[in-house]
Amino acid sequence: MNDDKLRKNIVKILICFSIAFLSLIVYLTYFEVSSGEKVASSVYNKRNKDKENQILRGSIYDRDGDLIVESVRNKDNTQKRVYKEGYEKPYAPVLGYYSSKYGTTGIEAAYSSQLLDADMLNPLKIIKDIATSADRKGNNLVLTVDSSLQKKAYDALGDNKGAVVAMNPKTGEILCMVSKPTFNPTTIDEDWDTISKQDKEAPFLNRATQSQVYPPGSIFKVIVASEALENISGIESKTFKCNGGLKIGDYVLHDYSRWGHGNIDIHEAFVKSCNVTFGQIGIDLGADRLKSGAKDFLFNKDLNKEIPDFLLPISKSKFPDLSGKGDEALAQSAIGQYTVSTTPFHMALVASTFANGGKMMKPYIVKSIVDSYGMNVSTSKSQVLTEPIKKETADMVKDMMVDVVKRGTGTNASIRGISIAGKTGTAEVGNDLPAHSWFIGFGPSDDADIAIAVILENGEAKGRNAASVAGEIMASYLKR
Amino acid sequence: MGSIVNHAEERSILRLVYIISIIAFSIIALYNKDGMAIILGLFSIALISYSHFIIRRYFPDGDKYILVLSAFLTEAGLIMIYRIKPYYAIRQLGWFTIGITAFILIVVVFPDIEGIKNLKYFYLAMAIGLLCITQIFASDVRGSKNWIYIGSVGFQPSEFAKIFIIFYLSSALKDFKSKKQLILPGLVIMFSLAMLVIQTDLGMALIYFCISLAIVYIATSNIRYVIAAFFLSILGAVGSFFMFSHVRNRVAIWIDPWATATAGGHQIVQSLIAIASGGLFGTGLNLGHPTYIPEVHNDFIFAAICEEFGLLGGIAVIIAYFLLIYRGFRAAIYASDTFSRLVAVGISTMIGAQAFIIIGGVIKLIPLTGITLPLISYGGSSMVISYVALGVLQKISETGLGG
Repeated sequence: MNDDKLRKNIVKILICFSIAFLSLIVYLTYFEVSSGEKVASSVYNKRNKDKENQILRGSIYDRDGDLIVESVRNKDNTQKRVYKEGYEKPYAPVLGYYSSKYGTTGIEAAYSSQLLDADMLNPLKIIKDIATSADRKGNNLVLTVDSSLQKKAYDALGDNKGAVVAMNPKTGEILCMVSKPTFNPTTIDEDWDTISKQDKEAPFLNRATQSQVYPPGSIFKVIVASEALENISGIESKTFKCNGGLKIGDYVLHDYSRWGHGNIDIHEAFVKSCNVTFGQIGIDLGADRLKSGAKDFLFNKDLNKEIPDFLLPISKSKFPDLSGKGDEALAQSAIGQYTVSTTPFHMALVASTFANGGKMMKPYIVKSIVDSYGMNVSTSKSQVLTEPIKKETADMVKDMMVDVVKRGTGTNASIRGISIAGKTGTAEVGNDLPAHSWFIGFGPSDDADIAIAVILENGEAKGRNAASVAGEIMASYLKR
Repeated sequence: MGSIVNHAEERSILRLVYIISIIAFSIIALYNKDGMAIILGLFSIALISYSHFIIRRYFPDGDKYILVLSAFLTEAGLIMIYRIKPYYAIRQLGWFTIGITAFILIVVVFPDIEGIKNLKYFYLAMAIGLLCITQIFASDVRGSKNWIYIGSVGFQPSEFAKIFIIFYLSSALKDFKSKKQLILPGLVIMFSLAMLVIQTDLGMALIYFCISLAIVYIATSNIRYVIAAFFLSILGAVGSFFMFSHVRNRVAIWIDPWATATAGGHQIVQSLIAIASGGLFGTGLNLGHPTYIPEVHNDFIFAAICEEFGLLGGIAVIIAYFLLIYRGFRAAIYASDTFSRLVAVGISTMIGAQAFIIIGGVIKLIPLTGITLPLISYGGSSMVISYVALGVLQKISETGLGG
């Protein structure tokens, strides 16, 4: 027998095996790279549900470090969310619900991976955890929300449908965010069927950020006034004539004051919320400048893209393209009607811009993320989001807003001893339904600590307007 | 001198295996508050180092790495099995003890391989006998009729038969001169394959086929036999596809396991999910959920390794198998006589084919056929036979020219 040939043949078999084993390695790598993620997220993967149960979901605290909600183990080793008493419903629109049956919404959903992240920074603590068999806990969230203000806003809304958003105009911290009607997140599994049938009330809707149908009405005049001041020279001294209606062809834009405001300048027209004057200003500005002004204030922009760190879903505010639509549409849009729409969250940002000298701060609702041992994981920082207008313009509009509350349409929002700035709005919704009542404002006007947006749906009928709700909320915050 | 230096290298690799094992068993002990894990780990290490001592002390000329690589794979198996179900690991340690004892006895006590090269009819009788008693006495375990129970201890005759088949073929073909010599072995191979397919032991049939192919090729040095066998096997495969529903099932599950993710494809789907959940680095020992795969301690243990030790851990195991069979083929190359050479080729092919078929099945590269991953999977027959085979391999390397 030829030994050399035999050896060569053995080497050939070995080569076959090396190809076979290499193909195992290549295929395994290919599988991990190409479809690993998809396969791991398969519904048949019990690990995903398990992981949620294995780690005790992190707690959520308010800005003062007071506990809002925490997880506790049930007897069967599953877990449930337990709220501080009385915090369930006020916080529901922001925090959302956490249900093994119906999923997760709100901050619970947006920060789920953080709340379940028990990869602690300190390896010694992991060993300690294992040694003492302590429950592994996810990271905790510290919100920017002020719990007492959150409750105050929840109470102040009363039985109205509506929403309140308040923030610190200097930092962008969200101080409260309330929406009504709402739900109780701790009994969601039992209440689900009833709640999901309430189409009109829509308790699951966070009206502060997600309502897509709110026309801003007259609060939009803050933007139109800014555009006019920056684009029409000499507008401050120009006199407008208001006789109760603005005739545009066959259409008449009515003012709520039937006999009109007579001769009036832009300041007074703003204070008295004169539709005729602002309709005329809208026509003077024209489609393009109105639209670009609205765009500067982030209308028609996806706020979730503009503010990627703000993880709650925000509806887009819309300002229509009016080129070729005629003066009627221009005038209506300039008073926040036609097809202009916005959210209370966005209007709070707009209000804060005037409080902060023309700078809109980036809003945030999670102040910091800390691990279960209190070690800081990340902290949010204050940043300027955009600068839609000059400081001088902002200050001039602010002066108008101060007079609105002092002696104009917004006196209901006034607080004894503190100068408040604001703008009211009455947004027509058609179909013979009562108009929505709006208020945006801030205070103290010369160095604002709080900016606010309030909407009461169909608020005109209920004898309570947004201005007084806003005044009540701001007073409770400023008079501590 | 050189020999002493090389022994130091061996020892340092073994030390690494010990350290890894101790760390792994300590982690398991810490997580589960189970000191037993450490005791089991220490016992297995003592067993390995004692075996290594004996082999080195009395037979310093044999292959240096066969025992080291086997020890690594066995420890990997013990660690994973303990982590999955400690009770099985204790039993597995028992099988390992028996296996390594057989390994030492074969190397130390048994006569030279030369002395047993002419017992071909004995091997034939044993192989056919074992396969036939399976057919007569087998119990149905997990869909495969290939288990025999003596009291409460079950064993798989086909596992034992394969070593006799290797010996038989090597003995029958060691002086290959004419085609006539191939007739009886060819019939024996076909008979064995038929028995295994009927017993629905498809993976084992595939291993027998690979072993036969390799031995015939080396014995005859004629690629035409291999090609002929290949075509015959394709005929056989197509035939069994149409004849047996369990073959069709396996193929359908291989093509799309997700279609029957809660039924027939359940195991493979859970295996793929486990591998995917592990990612590159794995979840870490004791932090995954390999037990979501049914029978994971057995055929699917490779998926458990991938989940907890990641892609890297999986590749490490694949490479370890490759190195092991490389040492086997190396022993074959340096073997002093044709019989030893054929036996070494047969054993190396057996281990390599078995590892490839089950790993390939678990990662869905090829249709899944239920066989054990040698040295790692839980299972007494497989463990003992693997160590018997490795003992023979060690013995062959001992008497070979290469050292």
